[in-house]
Amino acid sequence: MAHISLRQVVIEFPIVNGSSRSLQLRLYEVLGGKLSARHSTVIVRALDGVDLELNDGDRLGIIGHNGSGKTTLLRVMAGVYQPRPGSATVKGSVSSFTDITLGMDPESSGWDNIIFRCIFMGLNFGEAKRLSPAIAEFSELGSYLDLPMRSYSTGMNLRLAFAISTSIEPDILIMDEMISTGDLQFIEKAKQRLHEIIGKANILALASHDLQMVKSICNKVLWLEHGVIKKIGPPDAVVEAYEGSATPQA
Amino acid sequence: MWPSIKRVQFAGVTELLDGARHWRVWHLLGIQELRHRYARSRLGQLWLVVSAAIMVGAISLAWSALSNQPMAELAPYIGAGFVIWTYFSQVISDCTMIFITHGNFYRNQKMAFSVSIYALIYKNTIVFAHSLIIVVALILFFGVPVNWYDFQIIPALLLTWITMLWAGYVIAMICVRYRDLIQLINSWLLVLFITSPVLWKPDLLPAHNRFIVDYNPIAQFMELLRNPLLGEQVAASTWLTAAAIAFGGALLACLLIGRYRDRVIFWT
Repeated sequence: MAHISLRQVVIEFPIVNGSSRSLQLRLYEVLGGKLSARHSTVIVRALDGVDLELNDGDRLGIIGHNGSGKTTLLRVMAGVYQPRPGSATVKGSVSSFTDITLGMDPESSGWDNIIFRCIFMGLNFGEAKRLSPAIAEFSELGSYLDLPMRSYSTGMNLRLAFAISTSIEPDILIMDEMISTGDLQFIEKAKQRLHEIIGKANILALASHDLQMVKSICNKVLWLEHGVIKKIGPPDAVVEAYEGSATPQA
Repeated sequence: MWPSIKRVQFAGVTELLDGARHWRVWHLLGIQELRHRYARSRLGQLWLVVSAAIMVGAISLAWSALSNQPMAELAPYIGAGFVIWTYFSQVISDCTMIFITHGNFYRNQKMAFSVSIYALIYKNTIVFAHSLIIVVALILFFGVPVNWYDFQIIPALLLTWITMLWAGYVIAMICVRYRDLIQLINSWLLVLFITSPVLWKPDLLPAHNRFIVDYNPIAQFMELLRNPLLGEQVAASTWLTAAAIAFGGALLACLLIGRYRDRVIFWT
């Protein structure tokens, strides 16, 4: 059983720069100085009163322009950002694919990195070891796995990261754009694998600009604009409204 | 806006303890940094011992020449002191940057920030353990007494770790918010080095200047770790002070941590 419940979620980023960050200014301020006029922290409101309820079986697509708050929303669901004000309750294990190389180390071999990445995703050493052969096989890196990862090409790097990250099955899967990687043949294989774990996950949240894919995978679409939910509902209706708004009003 | 003290305290305690659960992660993070430092070097991790030997050797030679004191008396004292000082100062200086360097990690995965603090204490403790080989060599070479007092090192280390955990978290948290403190703290480390009994003995201080040691937590913790190594008893007052700092500080720190924990991610 997985469940995500967001209520009136507001996320604000303080854009702290040198002057407002400096302790000196803060001290002057406390001491009653007049410098506070220069002390103006710019605040960016990335999400503004987002309500969302996701249950088992929900496949949520998040669409919207750059800077509309898609990634921030994903990170709220992953538990990274705590809303203030508002509340976010997330039940179930979460796998976040916002950075699939987290925990990997270029100085170490591919084999070691399989273990590292698995540990970062919350497995123990025994489980990581057991998964290693299957991950190695899927990555198709063969004897390269004995070499340090810094000798890999970007594509190989991603292939390994993908193979590891998709080898565990979370309750809640969070993705910022579909990961696509490698050469043509690998892309096919990766797609299949991705659809498999998406199928097994209780809840999927996917932010994407690829509207066709969102329509094909998701059963619910959320359109964000300036941190506010513009529209939420069945994929076809929301995507159509979004596309309609994108055409220039000439 | 201000949640109840009890809830804040609880959040702080949870935050600190939660990191311990992820020991596998901080074990990897700690080892990884050491591995990077010595990757592709011929001596590898042996450098941990060699560089400690060079530092301790050079300093005790120079200092015994300058102060005209016999090496046999000076070398073990300075050796132990210097190794402990390096341990403390490295932990402090690592803390100032840790949430910034690990920022990407926390932005992409929910985890207690204390994992970073555990990782850096762990890493520096490994370095410390390697440098202790030099201290042991000095002790054996110069015939420093080895006795039951040596075992005081176990509770002494425990108190040190507790203090490092909460103090490290607080330093890291304040530094990520007020970036000027990173520079300030790192330049104050030199002042701390001079005002702490690393190269000199506290009994050399004139009575009216004793406060330099009495009110200097670094000095207290240095005694706490050094006396056992040199086979001397740790004074009851030192035990008390250290325990008060470790546990009292932890209580206060948990309030601060519980209050601001959720903001840290926005400051990284």
